Amino acid sequence: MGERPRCYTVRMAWKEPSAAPPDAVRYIERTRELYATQAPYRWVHHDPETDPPPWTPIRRSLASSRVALLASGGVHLASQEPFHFRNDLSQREIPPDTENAQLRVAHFGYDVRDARRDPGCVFPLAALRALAAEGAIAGIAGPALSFMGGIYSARRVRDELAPRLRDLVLRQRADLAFLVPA
Amino acid sequence: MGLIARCIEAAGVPTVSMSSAWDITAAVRPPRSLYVHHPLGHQTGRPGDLPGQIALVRAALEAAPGLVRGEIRALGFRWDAPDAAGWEARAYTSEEAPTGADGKPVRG
Repeated sequence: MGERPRCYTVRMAWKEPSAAPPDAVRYIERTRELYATQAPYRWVHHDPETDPPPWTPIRRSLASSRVALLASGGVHLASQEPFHFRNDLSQREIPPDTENAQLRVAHFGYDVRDARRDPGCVFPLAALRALAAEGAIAGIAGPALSFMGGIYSARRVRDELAPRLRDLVLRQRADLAFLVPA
Repeated sequence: MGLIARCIEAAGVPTVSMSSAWDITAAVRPPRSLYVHHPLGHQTGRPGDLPGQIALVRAALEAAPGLVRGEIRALGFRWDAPDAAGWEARAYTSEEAPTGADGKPVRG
């Protein structure tokens, strides 16, 4: 085995999420209403008794951590193929030094107007570069991993996309992964 | 996104996930989540506001080590654009459906 710390497999306590803030939008309810004529999107639900969240303690200080960025806002390089349609399980690797002007956005599930004006709304590569430049983090671990959420098959995310992204993160030897949905 | 966070965390790399949809995040239960009260598509801030985006990302990364397993914590960022009052009531309704509601991505 390598020297990579193992994840905890023993049962340990988890925190039951607190009640949602009163003004939080109820998206599950809203999407059911909005797409009432289509097959319902089945949000993933894990029972904490049988499926509590995995857990790896954060051991390194932030200043000595190389951070991997993963984002599901459909951001891609102008030179890369855009995301295609629902259930697109592909990913794009975006070099850490990429300027926002080189980025494009293709997504069906959220209002992309602001993300097109400034991908930093959902793809904070420039913000991470600034934090690395001032020493708040040790650096960006590797190319940002960008994909498109809204995949209707949780099974295919679990069996195909997630392990592929996991392997890319492991290859980057990241100390912390920062995940940004859209 | 929660499935991906869980898969990476299970492989020994700690994760921290942004969220602007408390109910979706609470259902999937990622290891660590930070909630910002923003419309979807703005989980790391406002367009054209790099200092604000840096502040948000910094706050998220600094909060991460203090979270316990499965916690969702409100980070304290709220959407207060002057023309956006009442955005919560319109989000994801027929009045303001996502631009690609036909299932085809909006490209650009």
